[in-house]
Amino acid sequence: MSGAITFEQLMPAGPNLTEHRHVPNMVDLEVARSRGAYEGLAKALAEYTPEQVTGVVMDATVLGRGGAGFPAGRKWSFIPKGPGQKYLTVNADESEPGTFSNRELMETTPHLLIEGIALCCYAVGASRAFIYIRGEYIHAANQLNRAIDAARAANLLGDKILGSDFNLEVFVFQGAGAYICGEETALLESIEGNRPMPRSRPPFPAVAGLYGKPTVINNVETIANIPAIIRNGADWYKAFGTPTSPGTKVYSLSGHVRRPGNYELNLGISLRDLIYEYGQGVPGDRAVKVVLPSGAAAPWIPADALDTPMDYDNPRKLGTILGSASVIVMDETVSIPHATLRLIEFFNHESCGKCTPCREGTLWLVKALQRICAGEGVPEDLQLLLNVCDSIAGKVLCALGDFAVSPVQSSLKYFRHEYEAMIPGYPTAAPALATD
Amino acid sequence: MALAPETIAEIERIRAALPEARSALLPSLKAAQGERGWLPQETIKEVAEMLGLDPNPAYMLATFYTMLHTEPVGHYVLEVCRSLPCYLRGSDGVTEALRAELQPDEHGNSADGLFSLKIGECLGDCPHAPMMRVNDDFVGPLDAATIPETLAILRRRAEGGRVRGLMADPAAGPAPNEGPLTFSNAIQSLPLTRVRD
Ligand SMILES: Cc1cc2nc3c(=O)[nH]c(=O)nc-3n(C[C@H](O)[C@H](O)[C@H](O)COP(=O)(O)O)c2cc1C
Ligand code: SF4
Ligand code: FES
Repeated sequence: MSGAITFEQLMPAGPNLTEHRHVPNMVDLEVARSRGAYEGLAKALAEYTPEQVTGVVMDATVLGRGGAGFPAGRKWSFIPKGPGQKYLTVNADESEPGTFSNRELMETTPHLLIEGIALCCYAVGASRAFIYIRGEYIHAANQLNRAIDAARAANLLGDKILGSDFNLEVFVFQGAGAYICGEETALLESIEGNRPMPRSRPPFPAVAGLYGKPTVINNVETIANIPAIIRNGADWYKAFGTPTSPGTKVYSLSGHVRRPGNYELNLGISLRDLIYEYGQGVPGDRAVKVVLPSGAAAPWIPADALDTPMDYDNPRKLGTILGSASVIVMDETVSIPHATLRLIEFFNHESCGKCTPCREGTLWLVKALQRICAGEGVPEDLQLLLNVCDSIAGKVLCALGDFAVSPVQSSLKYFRHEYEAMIPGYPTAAPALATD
Repeated sequence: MALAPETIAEIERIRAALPEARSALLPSLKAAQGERGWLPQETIKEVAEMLGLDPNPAYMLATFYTMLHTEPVGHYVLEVCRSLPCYLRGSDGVTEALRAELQPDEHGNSADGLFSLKIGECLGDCPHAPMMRVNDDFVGPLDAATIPETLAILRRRAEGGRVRGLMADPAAGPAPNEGPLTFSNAIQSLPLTRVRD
């Protein structure tokens, strides 16, 4: 295999978010400004009303990068106009297994996120923003704090930013280890000093969010997209990606690939290109067995569907989603029941315990899978697994419960024979399972 | 066991920076944990009272978050990642090797009091799988075969008094990587995108 591929080769369509990630010392304000940082903010303050900024973002159709793909401009438009405290909270909790793209953006180009925050806050009339960053990302938090201090000293944050009437303070709020804090209302609870358990909705955060005030919650990458859109316009942005999924996405690639890592690519790249061109294939040239498109959370994509374009639409045809585009590759050597157990143990560990079906159901799943993996399963266990999934999905307060069932359902859909082979005395002519 | 003056000053700084006192609770507990590496009950109470908050919910917080410790820990908290991407790259073998070397008690602490072994979930460093957190730093990729050497380096560094913030601050200079102790969270020391075989 040849040596390092240059970044330009990796990003043939022209990079957007990660263009400057290899520039040394982008935390330094002068270095960042020499690469265009805060030009979008200066332009917006000089030329656009807040509504116009929201309008450009809406026109660009920035789909939320945290998983659900909700259009950012529309989310911003739900914030009531007029006086009164409003907040932006940036979701930098990034605790889904296999996700690590926000981390690289924050460590390498913190000013990009801060400029995006300023633009969002100007658009929705928020004078305070929180970056909720997972506690383990100490290095990234340090980078953000340095960048914020420098930006405030240069009047890019603080009072009367660049001579305008726009004021903004940005706080970096560090978590302390809990996946559930990535769920947007649990995140608000965490900032408020409460046990981070999701809230029931309505009211939605746009109406009553942080401290009961209207609040926008967006992912790091969603916000990091904004400065270039304001600088270059919505049409420029829409030239990337596909007509319905514009822009680029930082795909996080991990598991059985030769070169795991973050790759910023046009939305709509196929898994095959991602794995073989960018990830340089599977170690030992083994075969791909199955791919997890969004960390532990989303239904799986089988090896015969690697040509599926990874945008916001096409994965739906396979019953799954792009999600956070954190792609985990498993090769032919993996025991599917064991891998499934590992995933369910994660969800069981991270369940906040507020809803009985999620708290107890994930434990039941773990126990049944442990039994099967230990060679002590009984034929009825497979139906039991599916029944427990049915008792969780759609019957709980937040999406964690729905995430937790997808590894079980997917693995039984595509690899039921592996379970059967582990269960002593599994009847060869077993009745068909309802797996959808 | 009153809070140290530096901790009190830090909590006051945190309180002043945040819009509401209740938001200062979690960061203040973390600051207080910096004193001993863990949070005795009295410390939690003191922090809550300093902020004018009820101590009872504060105990609940301290037990909810994996990074807050309500029992004594060693100088080094080793959190080895077990999530799928690390599992696929051999994290179970690494955990076994760590257990064999450290012989932890039921709380995960080694007999010499130097190490606490925790089993954690994805830390956002999957390109360097299998990996672990060592206090504030990420170390990886790990190899079960060289775990004894990795621990020997950490023991040596502890003797030199360098325990916390081994690499978290890039201002401290280039990554002090040594053989099988490769820090992966230092900017540009091990980029998240790199070539491997
Ligand atoms: C259990 C759980 C964990 C989540 N973790 C994250 C996360 O770490 N980062 C994130 O941006 N969104 C996460 N989300 C989604 C958020 O609730 C929310 O939809 C998102 O932050 C909105 O931002 P976006 O519209 O920019 O995508 C999580 C959701 C759930 C249910
Ligand atoms: S679904 Fe699970 S994680 Fe979500 S609120 Fe209910 S118990 Fe908590
Ligand atoms: S799975 Fe171990 S760091 Fe992500």
